[in-house]
Amino acid sequence: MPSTTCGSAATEWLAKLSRAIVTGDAIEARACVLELASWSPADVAQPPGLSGLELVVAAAMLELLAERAHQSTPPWTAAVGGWPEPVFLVESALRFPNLRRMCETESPAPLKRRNLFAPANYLTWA
Amino acid sequence: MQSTKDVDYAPLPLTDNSLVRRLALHVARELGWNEDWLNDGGKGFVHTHSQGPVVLESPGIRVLRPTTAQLLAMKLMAWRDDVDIQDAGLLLDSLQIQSPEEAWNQCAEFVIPGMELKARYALDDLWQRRD
Repeated sequence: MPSTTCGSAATEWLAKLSRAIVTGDAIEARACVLELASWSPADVAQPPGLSGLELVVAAAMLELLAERAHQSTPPWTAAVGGWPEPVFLVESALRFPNLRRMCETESPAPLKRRNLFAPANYLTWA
Repeated sequence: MQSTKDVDYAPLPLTDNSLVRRLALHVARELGWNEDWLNDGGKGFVHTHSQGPVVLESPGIRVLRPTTAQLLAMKLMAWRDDVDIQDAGLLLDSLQIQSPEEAWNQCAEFVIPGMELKARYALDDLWQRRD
């Protein structure tokens, strides 16, 4: 059962997740997602100090994790729009044509509507 | 060096998991590890087991490592992020094979029915990386 307290720690994990994704640190991103699973997404505040792209990724990922856990999201994510250019969260998609097509067609809705692209099972562990 | 924080496993037989879970919990409490240190999430990518090397054998427990071909098949089916892709590249290199067809012939029996297309596309991408 997700905790409803200690949201500030979850906010730090969300910031770490976003930075890990933007910098291409996939192992760190996996670890952050596992940590975030302990918290209710609705209790995660908007992380301060993120760059523009990092904030877009943070909002999209929090919505994606909430959707997978059948939970609600905090209001702040809805106010975060998309990125002006397509961004592939899996770097290899820039070199692998089949993976790129898969990302373009299967990217989860919270990512795709922000111009972010990843496989449907991006950062799942089961 | 970075690594993931858990160990993946699949019980044999594939349906008998409760004893392994209880023992893993016991180990976690004894050693102060996270209770989810032993992760069976990968069993969704296992429908048969290969005869890989025995990595541990003690009274009451026998731990086998899947063959490299099966590990590669599992990574091709998962294909979630750059970790899977890098792992698959290492596994493919270690097979020391000469063509994607040869790689597919080794992996195909471990690919779950319905996931063949995704795994084959992934393998083709991975093979092109070597060219």
